[in-house]
Amino acid sequence: MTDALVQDPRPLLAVLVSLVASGFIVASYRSPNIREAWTLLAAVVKFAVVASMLPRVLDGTVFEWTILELVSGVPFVLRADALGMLFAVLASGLWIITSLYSIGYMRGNDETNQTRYFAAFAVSLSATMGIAFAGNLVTIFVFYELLSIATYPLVAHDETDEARSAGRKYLAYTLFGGGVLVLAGTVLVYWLTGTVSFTAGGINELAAADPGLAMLAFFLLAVGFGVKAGIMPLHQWLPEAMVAPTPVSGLLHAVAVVKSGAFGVSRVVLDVFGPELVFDLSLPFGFSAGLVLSTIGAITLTAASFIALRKDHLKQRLAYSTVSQLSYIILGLGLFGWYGLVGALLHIPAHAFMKLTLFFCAGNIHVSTHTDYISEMAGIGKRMPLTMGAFTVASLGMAGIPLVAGFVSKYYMLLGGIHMGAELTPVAYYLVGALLLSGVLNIAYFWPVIYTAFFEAEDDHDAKPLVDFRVGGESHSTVGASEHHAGGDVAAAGRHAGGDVTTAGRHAGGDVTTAGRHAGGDVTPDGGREADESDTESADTPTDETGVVRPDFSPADRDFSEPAARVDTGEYAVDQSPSDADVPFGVKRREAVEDTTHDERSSDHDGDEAGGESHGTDEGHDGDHHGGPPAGGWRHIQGVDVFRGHESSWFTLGPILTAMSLAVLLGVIPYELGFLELIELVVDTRLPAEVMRP
Amino acid sequence: MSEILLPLAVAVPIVAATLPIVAGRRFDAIGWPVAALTTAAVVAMAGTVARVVYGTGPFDHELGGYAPPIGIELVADEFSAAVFLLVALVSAATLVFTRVVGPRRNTFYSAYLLLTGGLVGVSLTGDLFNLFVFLEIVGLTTYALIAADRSGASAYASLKYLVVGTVGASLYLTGVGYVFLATGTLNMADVSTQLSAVGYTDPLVQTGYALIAVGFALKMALFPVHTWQPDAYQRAPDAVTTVVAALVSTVSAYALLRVSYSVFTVDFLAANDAITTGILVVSGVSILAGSALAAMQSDLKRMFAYSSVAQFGLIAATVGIATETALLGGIVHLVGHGLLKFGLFLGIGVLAAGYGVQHVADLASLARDAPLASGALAVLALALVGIPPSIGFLGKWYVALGAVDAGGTTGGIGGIAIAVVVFVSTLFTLAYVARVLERLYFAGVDRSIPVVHEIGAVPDGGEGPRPVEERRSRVPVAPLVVLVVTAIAAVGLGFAGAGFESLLDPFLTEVFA
Amino acid sequence: MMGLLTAVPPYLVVAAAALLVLTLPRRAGHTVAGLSTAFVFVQAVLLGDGGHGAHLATGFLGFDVVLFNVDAFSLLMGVVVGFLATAAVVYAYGSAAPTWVTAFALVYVSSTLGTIYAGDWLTLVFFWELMAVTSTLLVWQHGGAAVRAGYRYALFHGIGGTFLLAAVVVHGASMLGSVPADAVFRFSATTGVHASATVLAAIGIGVNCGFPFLHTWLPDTYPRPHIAASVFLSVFTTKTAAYVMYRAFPEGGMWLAYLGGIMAVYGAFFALLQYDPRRLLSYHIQAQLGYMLAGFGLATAVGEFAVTGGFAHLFNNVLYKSLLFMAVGVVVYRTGVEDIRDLGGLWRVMPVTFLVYLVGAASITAVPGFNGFISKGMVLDSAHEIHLIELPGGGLLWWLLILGGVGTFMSFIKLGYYVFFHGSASLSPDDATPFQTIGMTLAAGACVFFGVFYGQLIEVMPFTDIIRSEAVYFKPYSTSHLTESGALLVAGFVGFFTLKRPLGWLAHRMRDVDAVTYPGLFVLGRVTVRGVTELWAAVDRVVMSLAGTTMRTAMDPRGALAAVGVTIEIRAGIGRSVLFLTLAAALALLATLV
Repeated sequence: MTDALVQDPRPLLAVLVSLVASGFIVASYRSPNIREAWTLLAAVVKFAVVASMLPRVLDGTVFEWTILELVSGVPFVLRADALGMLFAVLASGLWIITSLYSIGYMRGNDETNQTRYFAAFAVSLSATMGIAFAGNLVTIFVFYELLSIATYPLVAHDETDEARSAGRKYLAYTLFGGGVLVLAGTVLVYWLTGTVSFTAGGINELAAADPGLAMLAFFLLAVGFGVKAGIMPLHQWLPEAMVAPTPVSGLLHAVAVVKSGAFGVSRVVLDVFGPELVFDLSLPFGFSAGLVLSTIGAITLTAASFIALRKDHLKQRLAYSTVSQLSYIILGLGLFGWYGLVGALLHIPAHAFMKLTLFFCAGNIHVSTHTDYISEMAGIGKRMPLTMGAFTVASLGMAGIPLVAGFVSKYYMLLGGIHMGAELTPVAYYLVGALLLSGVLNIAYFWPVIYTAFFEAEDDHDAKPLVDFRVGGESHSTVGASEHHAGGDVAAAGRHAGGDVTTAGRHAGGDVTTAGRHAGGDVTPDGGREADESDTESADTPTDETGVVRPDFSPADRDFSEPAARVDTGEYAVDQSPSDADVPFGVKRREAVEDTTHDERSSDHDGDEAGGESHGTDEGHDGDHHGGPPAGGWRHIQGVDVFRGHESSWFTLGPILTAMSLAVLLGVIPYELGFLELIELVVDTRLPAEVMRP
Repeated sequence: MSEILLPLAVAVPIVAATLPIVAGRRFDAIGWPVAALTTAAVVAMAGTVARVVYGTGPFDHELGGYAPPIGIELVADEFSAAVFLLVALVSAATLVFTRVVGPRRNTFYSAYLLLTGGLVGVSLTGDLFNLFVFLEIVGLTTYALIAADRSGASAYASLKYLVVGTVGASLYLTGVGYVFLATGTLNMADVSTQLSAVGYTDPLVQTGYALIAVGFALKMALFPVHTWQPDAYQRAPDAVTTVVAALVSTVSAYALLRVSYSVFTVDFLAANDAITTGILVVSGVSILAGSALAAMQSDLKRMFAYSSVAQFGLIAATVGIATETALLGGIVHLVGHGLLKFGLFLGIGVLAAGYGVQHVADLASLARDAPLASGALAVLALALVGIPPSIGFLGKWYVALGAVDAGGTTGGIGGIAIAVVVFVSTLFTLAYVARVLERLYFAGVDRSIPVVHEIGAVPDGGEGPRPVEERRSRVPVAPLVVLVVTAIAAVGLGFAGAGFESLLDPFLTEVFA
Repeated sequence: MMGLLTAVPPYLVVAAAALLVLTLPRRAGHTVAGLSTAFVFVQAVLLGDGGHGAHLATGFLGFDVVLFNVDAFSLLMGVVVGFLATAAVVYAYGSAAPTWVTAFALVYVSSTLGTIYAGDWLTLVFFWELMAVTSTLLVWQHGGAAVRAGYRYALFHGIGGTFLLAAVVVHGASMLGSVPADAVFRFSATTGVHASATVLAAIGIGVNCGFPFLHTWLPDTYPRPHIAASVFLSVFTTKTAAYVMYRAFPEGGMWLAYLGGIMAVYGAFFALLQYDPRRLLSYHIQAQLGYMLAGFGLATAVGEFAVTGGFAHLFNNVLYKSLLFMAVGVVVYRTGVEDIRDLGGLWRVMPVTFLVYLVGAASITAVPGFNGFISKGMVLDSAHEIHLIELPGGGLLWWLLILGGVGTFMSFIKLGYYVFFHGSASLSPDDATPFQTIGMTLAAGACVFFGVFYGQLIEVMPFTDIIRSEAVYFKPYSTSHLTESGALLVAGFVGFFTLKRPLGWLAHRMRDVDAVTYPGLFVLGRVTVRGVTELWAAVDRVVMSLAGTTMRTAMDPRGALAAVGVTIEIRAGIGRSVLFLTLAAALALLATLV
């Protein structure tokens, strides 16, 4: 294990690639295909650059490239060591599939400002690389701030009031964490030790420094980075940020941004203070700095899991799950010992793969069926088998069920916790307890999504979220069936549906091009498919493959009750200008526009205003506004159709399945994927001899 | 031979100031060319001086061959050279803007050149009284320039500035008088030697410094006595605001640092805790108050005027802290802030010229029509917040470091307090900058006229093509170029920290010898 | 040959078959499924001589793991699971089970096999968790009421799994240092689970064993899914749990034994109160597990004999319990009635089913000539040697088990009486389908076979030679045993027909603990969730409102001040600055005086 230091510009290259690419992306805003080509190219090149360093890093080499002397004694240096590589490989690799997914998602959704979106995405990625490769606290701080700035446009992307306020909140929280706490901590460390450069196992001068000040510096830094990692009570920005387009929530708010927070904490623990010092900075009641950190993590992950139980909006539930899972990492980092640290670091990729899968699935559901709320997903497994299948696997992993990555990291952390509890201080046992409890809670809030998707019928399923209804649950129906549709007056319903949508587009911040395109009525393949889909929907209602007795929708058994009461998370731009994919009878669009463009009623989207309209309109209106199954229940995609991408485009399916398989592979062969090897290398170089791997 | 440049640099603009008026009788649009040429010359001189200073070291020039202490000398050392350079560049660059938006009268350019001369003089002079003279030149020309567009509001603002400024100047003069009584000389270097003999705790000296400090506080517009500044910046023509905001207060701050460190020296500051504490309190308050007041504003120019109050508080604080790092931070931030404010007001002016922007609300989604100007504005604003990498961050870093350092070594809470204030003020700054950016980029307002027909609709929902006249940005080109260059410089200088250190190192070591 | 056999972990074969079931047409798929499970059976039998050893030993997460651990215990499990699974697949084919049911069932079986053949705690807990998931899917598949029940089931087993996981981790962590770090989880490294993990392990496994008060998932879940599904479910989870219990506590312990006794009584008693046939049987699962655990518990107190008894009972229980579920399943399948009071007189119209039921009932109630008689006899004998708490005629443990036996008799008399006699045949359904019949015959045949040729049973068991040796008294058909079971039989009949009415009365009033625990836990959960949610919401509101007010004050200070009641001109005019100025000057002058 030679720790050879090699001067090599590749770290800088990895950072610059997407920065440069963002320029090209902006430049070629007129022709989207070229623009996306730039994104993909940048992603691949970036990953190639990073990957090219991996083999030698695994042999203990450290690539370093000093750009310049930022301030005296503090070089602006990029250094690719094992820990940095862990994060860099992860982020750059996942960027590739996320880019593909983004293309599918953004186009499927008719999102606006796509150029800005892709450019900002590219910049965020280079900032992430910078964080991964930063060689000292100042450098990481620089990129940390850059990341906050670069991500802001993505959060505020929709330019709705919710998006703007979310953006404000995001900036306030993250820049407070970065600009104030991290900077203060950095200054303090610099003043205490005269250096801020990361040194494996910690900066020695800190151990000699005044414990009080060192403690202060530690918490300034840990909390400062922790803000991005969503530690409570500083987590509020994360759920709010879910108004961003799903790929953003996926890569940035499940991987790059939040992980940069967790990664920052791990840098602080491993390379600034060193695990030993973190444990030795002792406090009363057998606590130490590290244990306090872990305790914050423990509280966060428990509380977040509880909150998640009650969220009906899928992305919100995932967001809180993210908050809780990130705290696994924080918790693990506070555990002093080999297994704990390995577990914590291993949870970075593990959670990344699983959560990315989950978010992609949520987004795919949104694009294809325009459904956001769990209470409306009954039976959606028929419509999107692959997506929900992947979702199932990933959520199993979240609960730490074997075969998926979650089990591995959790297992290590448990082992570390118990070991620490036995060897050092019993406090660690409570942390283990929190981990275990959270596992059960994960089951509690993920399973309902799975069983409602696959095993419940549209017109008869438990009202979600379960905790808000009586014991044993109560049966609800989300089928918007009505005389009108059953009567099969497709044209009429279609016209209304389409009309609302288009005008909705007009009202979405008056983005005219969108509406105009509806008018132009370029029917995407989706649209075409949906057409026959809608026919089959009304045709094959009472089939019974899954053993579920499918309903026959006579007007009698319609359920007028609104779906479960929800936590309102505001509208998405998509809600206002939905894509062709999710509107029933999409082909009727063109004609639809002509006669409803100047329709006053369209000025509001609540549907209850539409009293004057025929009942069918009301239904059609609700149907496309709230999502949920179309009249007659979900279409049943099965057999080979599943693999013909009938549930959604392969642009989104491909990434989903890739991320899922990565999660599984990491759960079965962690060594062969290189991650575990990398992490063991990291931990081995950071720990003092006596707590080496037993 | 290069020392002859010093008097030239002062004299040339002042002399040239007469030309527009004289020649104006024959040619009516002579003002701008003259000013352009002169400032270009000044830039050249500044460049040479800087090269010499940073190459071979500081040098000075005795006016009229009278040796100091009797004679007046002009000094170019590492510090003054930097400010000189800034003055030259900004005054030259601003002309690019005035070319487009005016004012175009010859008299204006006369005043402009006078101002330049005064600024150069302030930055170069090595004599306390001479400093007063140049300050007055600067002041008077500034009053004139502010009122240049002859509107009632600007006249009132100008008057306000006149009164306050004059009071400030006279306070300074009084202070100098005290010092003269105590030391019997006016040459800076000489005074500083004399002072050590007189003793730093001599009441005369203390009072002198106090009066001088207060005088500069007025000129720099620190919190309690800042009231002239927002009006002045807001009411003045855009071009004037640009140059005034970038330079006038800056040179006053330079003078404060110069007098405090070179004349009264750190020993004096160390000896008088009362004074340093007072300065720390005042500057701390004006950092917070300035930022808070800025956050309240809806008028853009006013907003950034108040932000200047905060930033100069930061610079003044370095006097109170009185450590090497802090002084370095002060200097870096002085230059950096000048650059940033120049850029910011230029950007606002450019947008105002193109789209009549005056309030934050007017910025709605401008980024779509004027991407470059908005982008540059955004970069500069973020730099002002102190987001790295940028010159703004560099200054904050050094000041904060110095503050923590002072707090740590002397155990005095003053330094720590300032450090905390600096960090917190970052948030305040963010508060109003974020407002601007959000309005600029995410107002969700579609500024274009709806197009119903689709020419070559892009297959994504992206920015569809808009009619050509909608696409064309109405931003004047030349100033835009300057703006972009400034923004790039603001970021680029963010990496120049080590450079600053090495360049200013001789000066610092001399001060802290 | 042997090498080849040991190279193929059976669970992979079964899992692969599960995929084929989904892809192939129904008949072909089920054939493949049957073959795969049959392979498991054959493999286990063949490995019986000389196949022992830790095969497929490899590394996972940096620890030694044994993926295919073959010894006497895992083999007997393999034999019976393979055999019964085959029968169940045939039965499932016969009872029109959707292919998804069979597929899920096979995955479930494969995870069970994984647990059985695990050679270390890591692998074991790995498959244990998978088993929880797969069985949940099997339950959910039926939809309707099964879904929510399945969710409760999942939570129960999630908690149980968590406890076991904790136990395993504690075990590993405690082993660190005493053995090389990568071998900490090996079974071979120690006997049973480390002392420090006892309670965790007991609870974790106990959930699956249906310890009293942890058992409520059993009667809650098993009656709801598809009949074929409940046949699978009824045997694997619980019996595997008993097996793992022995792995964890090879020395047993009286606490385990007495717990078993209590379970026997508890289960049998509540079974008596049920009218849903499958629910009744579910309670008997708990009762029967009581006997096994009693046997394991006496491992040290009595010796290998008791353990063998326990395992023999486990072995037999798999056979007859599934047999009973099959028989009852046929009735439900044909009549669609889930309440035995609505049935009756079916023995004429469904003779085969009736016959099969008789065999199953006879086995479970330990009628001589059926396999239950042998194994339950062994357990009772072992229990009879325990005299910790002396009661007239025998120890408390023994009495508990006897009582359980009587209860078992009564409840099966009840079940049979209501279903097959009890008034005239109101409805006349067809008898079992051919394939159902085949499946049932397989199981029934095994019951009778091992009842008669109990030597073969001992052959399959561990400690065979010890049992065979003279030291051990092993004569199932001794007069004492026969009289004992005769007494039980009589007691059962008398008890049932005398207590019929009071039991009926009790059945409407006496609810199991879940009547309290489920709502209790649910409400607790709801309170916690809402508490936490509201708490954080409150925090957020406070922060946000604070920020909001500051912003407003900043935007409009005059208004804010006016609201407070102060009305002054804030904006500093020129006059005020001059004032400031003079003040400053005054201060400066003061400085001269000090």
